[in-house]
Amino acid sequence: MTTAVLDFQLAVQADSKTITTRSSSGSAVREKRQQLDAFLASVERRALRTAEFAVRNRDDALEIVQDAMLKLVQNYAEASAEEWPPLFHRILHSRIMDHHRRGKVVKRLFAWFQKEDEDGEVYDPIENAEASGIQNPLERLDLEQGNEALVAAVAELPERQRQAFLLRYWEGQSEKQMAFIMQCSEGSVKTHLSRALANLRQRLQEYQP
Amino acid sequence: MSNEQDKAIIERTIEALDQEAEQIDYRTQLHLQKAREQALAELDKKPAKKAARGWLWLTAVPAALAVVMLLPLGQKSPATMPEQLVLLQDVELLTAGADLEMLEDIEFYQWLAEQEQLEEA
Repeated sequence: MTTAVLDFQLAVQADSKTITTRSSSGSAVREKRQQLDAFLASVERRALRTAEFAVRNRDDALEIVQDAMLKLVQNYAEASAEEWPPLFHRILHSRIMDHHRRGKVVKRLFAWFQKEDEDGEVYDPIENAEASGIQNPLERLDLEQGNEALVAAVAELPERQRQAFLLRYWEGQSEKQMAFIMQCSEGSVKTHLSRALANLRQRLQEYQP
Repeated sequence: MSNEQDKAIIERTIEALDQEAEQIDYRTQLHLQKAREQALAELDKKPAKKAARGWLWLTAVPAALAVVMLLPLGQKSPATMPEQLVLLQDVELLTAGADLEMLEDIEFYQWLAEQEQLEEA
């Protein structure tokens, strides 16, 4: 668990104790602001990397995280601090899905300008750009050992499997919370998680101690 | 593969992800900090937003409903039906939780209509 997460938990505990002893609404607003600030600070880096894994672009990922922070404060500032993590991650993952949907619309627009190559096949610039950035994970493991290889293996998991792995093991969300965030059944969550682990095992087999 | 080995993979991967997240560059850290501050600034705007929503329910929604109800009086043929449907969709949109910018627009258009009426008089 990172120090930022511990800081957030301590802030929540401290704030929940002090908030009961103060009665004025002004101080309650300040307490709420401090709690929200501590929560957002505790999740922002992991949220950024999660979004970056999904959209493969830091600026787009920053925009998604900023939007998720904004929506959480606008719509759920009054919710209890314990409810913020699943709410924030649900907003974050919805924004990531929206980004992918917009990407599909752009792809459709590109279709207007597509030209057939010599074999009569249509060239898709976006699909080709994405495919060129992915290396064989095992080849990458040969080249790079350590953290980079592990992070690359996670980045290369299919979207829903990566989402499940990160929510369960990086964010510490329960399967019930994950079902809420991923907007699917708990059964599906278990399936995604089990496939993610099997996939990671396979990708990291040469990295096993 | 045993659960012990799975546990080792998970722990080692999370450790790598944590270390990578801690090493995010300074420029990105500043972006995140700014994003957080902008989000928290919304807390100060919240009372104004609630007031605007209250204003919406008291004026804009009844006004839109009145337009929908009065429209059949001036109806000449069934060809005007789609207009009613569009208005109904507008009401649905208004009651579905509008943005503050949209509420401000409604206020502006109401003011504009009042100005036009004054000029005509």
